[in-house]
Amino acid sequence: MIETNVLRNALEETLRALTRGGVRVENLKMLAGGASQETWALDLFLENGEPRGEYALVLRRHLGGKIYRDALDLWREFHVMQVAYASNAAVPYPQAFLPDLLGRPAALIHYHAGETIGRRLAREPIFENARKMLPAQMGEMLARIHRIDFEKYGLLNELPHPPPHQSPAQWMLAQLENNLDEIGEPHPALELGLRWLRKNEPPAPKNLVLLHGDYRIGNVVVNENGLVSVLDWEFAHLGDAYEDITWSQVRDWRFGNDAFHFGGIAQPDEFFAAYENAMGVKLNHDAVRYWEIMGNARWAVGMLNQAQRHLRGKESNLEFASLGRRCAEVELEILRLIQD
Amino acid sequence: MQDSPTTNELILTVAQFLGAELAPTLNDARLKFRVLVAANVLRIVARELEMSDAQLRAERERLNALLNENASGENTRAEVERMTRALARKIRAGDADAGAFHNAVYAHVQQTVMEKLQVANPKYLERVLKETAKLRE
Repeated sequence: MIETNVLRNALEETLRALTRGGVRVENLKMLAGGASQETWALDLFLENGEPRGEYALVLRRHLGGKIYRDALDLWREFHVMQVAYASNAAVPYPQAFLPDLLGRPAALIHYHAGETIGRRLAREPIFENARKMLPAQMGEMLARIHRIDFEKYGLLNELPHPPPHQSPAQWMLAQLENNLDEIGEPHPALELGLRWLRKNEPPAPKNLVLLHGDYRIGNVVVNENGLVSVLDWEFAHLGDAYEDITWSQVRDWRFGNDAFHFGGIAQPDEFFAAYENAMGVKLNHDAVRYWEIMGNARWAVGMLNQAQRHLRGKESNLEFASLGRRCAEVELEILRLIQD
Repeated sequence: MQDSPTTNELILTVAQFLGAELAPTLNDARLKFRVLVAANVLRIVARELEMSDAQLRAERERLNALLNENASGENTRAEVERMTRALARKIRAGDADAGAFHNAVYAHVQQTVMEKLQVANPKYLERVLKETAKLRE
């Protein structure tokens, strides 16, 4: 792990060259660290140069490797955030991309105060009002993201998307099957789920939309009035809107409050209604059910990937290792969902 | 033969130390979380030591019946893994899409997933089974 003062000096030096003014970095502290990326919080003071002022920021550094095979690199994630910001989605302002900070790419993003931890949002009394507000707010915000004109911003070439001959569902199923084969451990429960998904595909969407790719409680900043902003854009891609619409219903994203299907805080009806309203569409219940099962399959494979990351020695990590044994929870959910 | 405490008792003692003694003294939230994860992993290991022999033999019997095999060698785990691989391929190829074979495969896979959860997270299993029973009422 890097020394705090080494990072502070490097950051000040880089920003001095960029702004041609006085630069002070204060209160630099690590929020989360790992072998592949680090997140730091800091206060930045810029004087005499351009721009100038005081900024509360988050610094994200990529250290190489990817936790997820389909994740965007930092530059493309930064670009998607710029597009989302320009399209009036609630997203922390992406202030600056630094291609070389101590030899690694880094990004400075505005810090938004609030809670992100799913377990707290699902349980703590101070978020009672937020839990009432969030479903409608998140439905409306998702529609805003899905209405972004991604072609206008050149994102079609930049983001992963299904090839012309495959529907988004077929594309994802092929990826999940390949991914399972690479992992090499047999998972008959997941195979039953994937087979069900192969046989029950709903009609393909008329248009692809820009998907956030990880839209759920846990990846949004929340205060007592509800939604502040949407974080974690590294899984953005083009695909079927239902993928984002159903992701927060996946059981593991209910944080133990299983009876509340929308992120452990509510039933999804208000979320659906707000999305339908803002988007001017009527949701199809078969497609909702289908993509909830797809979401569970995707998360099960995601858990196995993280466990593999530990097992193959890329990153010794107790939490990743234990995810290997948590996959059975999602398998049980898939078996339950395909049985109805 | 080793003297007591047994393997299980030793593992559970360490789990208890990590979770009940060490974790409450830690101020670093991330470290504390990982210590609790470590205690939980030890409890998984203890349950697995207790249950895995019986679970593996039962799983092999079910796979023998499903795949018309007669595996009965020394290395139960290797046989279960080989047959599970064969079963996964059959499902992927569409050989278990419908009918009596589908139902038999589903029942076996469901039982196997429940056995994994009896080791990995029995509380979760209990919660979901209760919820499913309530839905059926």
